[in-house]
Amino acid sequence: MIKKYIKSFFLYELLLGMKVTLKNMFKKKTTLNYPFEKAPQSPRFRGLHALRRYPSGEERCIGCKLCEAVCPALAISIDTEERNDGTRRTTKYDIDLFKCIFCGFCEEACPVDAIVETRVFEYHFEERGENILQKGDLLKIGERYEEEISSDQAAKAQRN
Amino acid sequence: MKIKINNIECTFSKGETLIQVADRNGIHIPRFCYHEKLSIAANCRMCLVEQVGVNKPQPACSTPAVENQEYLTQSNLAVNSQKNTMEFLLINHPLDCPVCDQGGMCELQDQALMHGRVKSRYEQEKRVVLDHYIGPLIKTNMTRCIHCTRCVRYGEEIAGIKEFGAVGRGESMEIRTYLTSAIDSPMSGNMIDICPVGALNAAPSHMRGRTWELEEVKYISPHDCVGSNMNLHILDNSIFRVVPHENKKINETWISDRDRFSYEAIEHKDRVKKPIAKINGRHIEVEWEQAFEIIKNKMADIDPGSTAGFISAGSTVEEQYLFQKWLRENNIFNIDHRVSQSNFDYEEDDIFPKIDIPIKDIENCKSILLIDSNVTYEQPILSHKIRKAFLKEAKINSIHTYSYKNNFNLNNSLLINPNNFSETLIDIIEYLSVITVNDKTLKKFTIPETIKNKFKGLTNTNIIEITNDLLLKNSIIFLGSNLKNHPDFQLLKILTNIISIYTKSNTCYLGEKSNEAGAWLTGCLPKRREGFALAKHQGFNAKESIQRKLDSYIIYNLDLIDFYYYSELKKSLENSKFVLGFQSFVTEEEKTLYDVILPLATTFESPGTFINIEKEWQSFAQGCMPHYDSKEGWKILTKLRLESGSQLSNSLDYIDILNEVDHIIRNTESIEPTKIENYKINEIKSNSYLTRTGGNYCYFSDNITRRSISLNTVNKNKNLVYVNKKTLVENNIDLEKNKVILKQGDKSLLVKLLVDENVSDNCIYISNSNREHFELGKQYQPIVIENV
Repeated sequence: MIKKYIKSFFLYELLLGMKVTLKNMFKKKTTLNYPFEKAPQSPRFRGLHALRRYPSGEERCIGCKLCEAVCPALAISIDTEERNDGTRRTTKYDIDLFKCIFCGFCEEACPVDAIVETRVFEYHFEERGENILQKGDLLKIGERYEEEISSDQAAKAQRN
Repeated sequence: MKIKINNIECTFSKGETLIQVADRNGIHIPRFCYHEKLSIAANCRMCLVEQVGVNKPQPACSTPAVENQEYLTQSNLAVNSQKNTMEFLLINHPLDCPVCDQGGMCELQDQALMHGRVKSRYEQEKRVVLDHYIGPLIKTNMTRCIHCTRCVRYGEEIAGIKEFGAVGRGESMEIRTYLTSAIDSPMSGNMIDICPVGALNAAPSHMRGRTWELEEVKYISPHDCVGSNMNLHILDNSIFRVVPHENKKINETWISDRDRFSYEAIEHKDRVKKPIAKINGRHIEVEWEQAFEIIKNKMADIDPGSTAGFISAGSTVEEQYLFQKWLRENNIFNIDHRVSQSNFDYEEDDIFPKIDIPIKDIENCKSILLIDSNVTYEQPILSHKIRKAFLKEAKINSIHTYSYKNNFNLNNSLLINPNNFSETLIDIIEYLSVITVNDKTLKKFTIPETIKNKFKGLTNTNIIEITNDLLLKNSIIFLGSNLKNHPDFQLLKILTNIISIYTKSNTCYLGEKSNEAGAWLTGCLPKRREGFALAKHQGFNAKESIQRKLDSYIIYNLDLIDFYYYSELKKSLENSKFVLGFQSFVTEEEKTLYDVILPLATTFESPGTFINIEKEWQSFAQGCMPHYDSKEGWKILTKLRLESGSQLSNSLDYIDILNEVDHIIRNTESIEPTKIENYKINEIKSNSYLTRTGGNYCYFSDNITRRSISLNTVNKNKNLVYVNKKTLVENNIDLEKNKVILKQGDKSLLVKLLVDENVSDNCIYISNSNREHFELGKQYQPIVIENV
């Protein structure tokens, strides 16, 4: 009983807590000062989508619609047509980022590595409707990050 | 008799192969070349199974089941041989499944997954085969071909086209046409379905979508009187493609190309997108309410006695029923659907398009007589049945004005001038009257005097042979749909009827549209009401209504060129006060003739019912929602009935209308034709002028097929005009030049000419395949041919 009074009189629990605080004060910090600092990303990071092109400039996507079929959130919608040279190409390739759950199935399903998820995760929309990325937007993203995407793809292709 | 497959006891009858027994008992055996409807080739070796006690695996498709034997489909030997076969098949098969139209419904894909190895061991080069153009309907990609030869066997056995075959041997074997040309068969599209891989694909839907995104709706063919069952595959509220739906009684597993590819018309530029009204002399698009307002006002003004309503025989039963109901409620009695018919004599004895025996029994007929019927192109499914009869050694005869290309051989082919049809049939009757005198087993009959007067002694041996064939048990006479345009059409019907009764043969009046029987039964006739009852107020038929130049006309789902009296109709419309059209399609020139056009959904976009020549009642659901601002016919007509003050408390729903029509038509008693002795036949004329003959070009036969782009690029010769050499010489035509001027009445036309001995003497074959030919004049009428 007396022990309890002494403990509460000398603020023992508080000191115990302060001990943890003190210990952590001198420890290396685990939080990051975002946006000035950023966490490292794996090559498998699943961020904003992109459509890729071949080095020749030809778009990779052949409009097989496997990504559309596999997408669990029904975020992708595609229309296709035969192009003049006899190959099938998409006339519409839309991804609704509000629906997308970034599961990466589209990337996995793609037989030509056309749709990929980049490391970009910082983006915002200002207008309603901007959440739907169209084919042109996706290709532009692809062009911009091609270097990063291709090195990531190479890393992913390596066997563990 | 019994065998064991995988330790399951199965019964079989003699002659059955293993794969048939297994299929019947639900045991899966993989296969590529075997097809239920085709002969057995046993060249893919995918169906190898083990027979217990035999060292080598056996192909299940060609091995007959043997009493008390045991077979294993899952044993090591069977599974390994299937795996090896699959590996060899995949050696030369490209890995382009993601861009292949067959992907997702591919037999090779499925079976590679179930019976193939996980990984290929083949690292050498793959074979590449050049594609050959085989027409605008089928897209080839022959590198994908696995040489199952189903298409070749289909061509030889079912369609009767021997243009497709395997060229070369072993590694360099190719499936192609022998001469690089398009396949010319009205049933070629079925090759797309039976091809187990993506080598043959539908060209119009090529690369437009994938198989797993399609929705399936059952549908009935809107183009011929057979009523083939088919499935519409819908992608985003438009028809992606059409495939057959199995119906053993009618179309088995086949459909014609016309049924398969006509859907393209839905988005044709002629489509009426919004209601159009003529306001202050200009045709402008208006809203539905406004259009109904105009119609309401006009309908109150017009004189019902001087108004005629024409409806297409290709509209659904519900539309036809509501159409005549609406008009009769407004005291308009001049209703007709027989717009392509030229002759309306003996109207009370008329019989609607029908067949005396079920369609599936045609193949068992021993003798078939075709009267000017281009059956192979106009009714491909019936032609398939006739071909089956032909393969069972039936005797097939034909009386025609042009030797049509058929997929069966003719026993006797009688090429006659169109003016001689009635004479030829009378010759047959004469021969019958001669033999009934001698033969006591045949029924005696009295022939009407007018026919007797035409007897002139038999000279033609063909006629005797044809008649003798008809006397065989189980014979059938087909009266072609072309004859509708014949000036003696009704007489020919009666003569055919006389022949059929005394030879005890069946008859079949081929209708050209999908629902002609329905139009008769729903009372779209001037003299008969729904349920075939005689009408209290009798109106004018199509011919009279057009020639009498009435005040107002109502035209439902018909192009003006559907009318036999096309030029007269155009004049009548120009002079009339009010023309109302319910149209899915209208051309720019025809648009100016209407006062109001309501956009009508095509039959693809509305629910409905068709009654085929068997009187088989087949309903179908709505394929896709009406495109643009068009509405289903039954909705428009119900609304109009409400506006004109009908009391409709119960029949506002589609299903109510269906039940109402169903009740009336199912209780209809069949109409017996008048007894032959009672026929009063008028004087029979005979003409001998240069005649225009020809038929409806099968891809120009109704307002939908006319606008299907792929179908209309099939035959490049369709615009040509055929004449035989003798006629050319008789008319002093310069044979060097291939262009001539044709004249009918005051119209003339410069055409390309082809000398063709398949045309009979003293006539010119002009297929009704473009608007110019309709502008020129009518079929079976005098024509003049001149040098340029």
